[in-house]
Amino acid sequence: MASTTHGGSGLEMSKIRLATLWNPKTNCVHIDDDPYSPEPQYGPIVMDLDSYSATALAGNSKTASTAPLHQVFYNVKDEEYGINALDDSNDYYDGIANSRAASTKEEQLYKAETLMANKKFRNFQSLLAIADSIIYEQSRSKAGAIITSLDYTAFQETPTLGANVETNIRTGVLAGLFQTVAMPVLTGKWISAFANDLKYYRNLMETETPVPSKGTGSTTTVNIQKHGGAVAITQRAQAVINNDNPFQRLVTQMGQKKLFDENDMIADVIEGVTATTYAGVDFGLRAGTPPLSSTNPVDFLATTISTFEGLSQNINLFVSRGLAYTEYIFNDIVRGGALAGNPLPPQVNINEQVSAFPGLDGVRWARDNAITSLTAGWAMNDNAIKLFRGPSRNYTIADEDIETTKYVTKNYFLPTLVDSTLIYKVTGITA
Amino acid sequence: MVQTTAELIGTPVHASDWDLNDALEGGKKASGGSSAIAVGRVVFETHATGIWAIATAGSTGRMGVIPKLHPANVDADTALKVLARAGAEIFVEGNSAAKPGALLTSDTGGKVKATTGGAGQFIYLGHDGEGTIGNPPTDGAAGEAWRVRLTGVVA
Repeated sequence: MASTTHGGSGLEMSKIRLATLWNPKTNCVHIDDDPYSPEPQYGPIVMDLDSYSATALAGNSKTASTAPLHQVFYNVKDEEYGINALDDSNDYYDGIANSRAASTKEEQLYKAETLMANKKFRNFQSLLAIADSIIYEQSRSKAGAIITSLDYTAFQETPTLGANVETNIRTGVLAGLFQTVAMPVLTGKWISAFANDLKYYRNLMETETPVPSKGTGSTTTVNIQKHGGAVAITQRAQAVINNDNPFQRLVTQMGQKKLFDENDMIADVIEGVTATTYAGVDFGLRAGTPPLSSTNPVDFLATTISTFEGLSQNINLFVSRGLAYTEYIFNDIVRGGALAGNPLPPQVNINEQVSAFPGLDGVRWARDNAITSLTAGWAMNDNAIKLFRGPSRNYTIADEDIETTKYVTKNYFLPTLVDSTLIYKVTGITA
Repeated sequence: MVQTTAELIGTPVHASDWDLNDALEGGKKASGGSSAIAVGRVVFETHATGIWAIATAGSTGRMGVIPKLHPANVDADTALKVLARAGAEIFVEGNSAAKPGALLTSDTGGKVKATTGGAGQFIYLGHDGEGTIGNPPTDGAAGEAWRVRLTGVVA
């Protein structure tokens, strides 16, 4: 239907063009075919479908209805503008109620037919049919028995999807630097020194034979201690922890922890050397603009060579934190000058690495941050330290009675400084 | 990663028959709202009723610790298991300073504190991982998980 507000193109009916008028207050189209007619004719009404529901209409009780009937059927708030909306709506609703309230089916049908035959309500009826179909569709979409996340909670579990990488236990490189001495018993002697006091005589007299001369020797007593760790778990814990295997994981890590601790013990022995010492140079010291290395490590190298050349064995090992090595190889003088284009020295991870000492043939430089000193390194012959190792025992014991499984590792281990003359603390190599 | 106090308290120290079995004692508990006693908390037994409850400063009677073992007691329970026999070792929360070997008694909230005199119901042994010659015990501070041994002394 074509319409305009307050007069417009009009309604075409059997080639008779009727003037139409839509009243927004009543929501009705007025067919103004007779300008002299005292009362306008009424066209189709617009029903308020949102207000129409079986619940709001409350069955047979008009007073119990929460939806004003004239709003449902006429879509107007008030009775006005010439339409007795309230009366018409009530009549129609009463007709429905009368039909429902009939005592027999025949009477019910008769009353319903009477109501439906009344042309006055024809517009209501067609619109009600539409409303019924819409409400039916809406009721279907509001299914009340959908399974939500709050159902079946007993069957919901939270699986472990993955894990962040655990911080690795650093096992160090120090244990591989020194000779391991197996201990058949837990106490033994290590010959720390032989010394001779041999005499050689010059210009002996005829028939004279030289008198004998001799020497001395000293030993260090080694007593190795027992170290160990254990992991235990109850059977119930194993049965209920289904997203992890903490026992097996921690047993594996206990092996790494043992290596870490043994490496740490070796670091303690190295760092315990403070009696024999000489000063190095700060490899990383820089000055000027742009900053360039202001120290020459050759002084340190010369001191090192001269320090060891009088000893029983030459230097073959240097131990420090990784930073000292980095600063040494990036020292502009070691690199051959900080010229543009001077290639950087090849480098990999500097911690827990062992490689040749640049500038000292036959010397390895072991970097291990188990060394706590931030300024010193230790120059040595690796025979200065021995690693004494006794029996190791690793076992898993299951006690059915107290429902516990326990992994145990026990180890006899002792790093010892056996020749204190072969190791020097070099101070001030980093700042 | 170092375990927190909450993760440690109530854990029996040794995977031994004593700490995991023999030293555990069954007892009575009041039931009702908020009557559950958390693991790791010190409890005391009222002699007249035989009921265990969370200890506080000045509690008297036998003392023990709720172990971190299944099943933990809940509000509705009228019974519980408590680690109560002398010699057992367990972690509890300290609420004072303590030197290794210090005698301890109960404190507010089921914690322990060093005694100012007299006998103690617990002995402070150190922290987790301490107690050997190579890893000697260090002084305890409030809020830490303390490794303690039950003395069997009745407060």
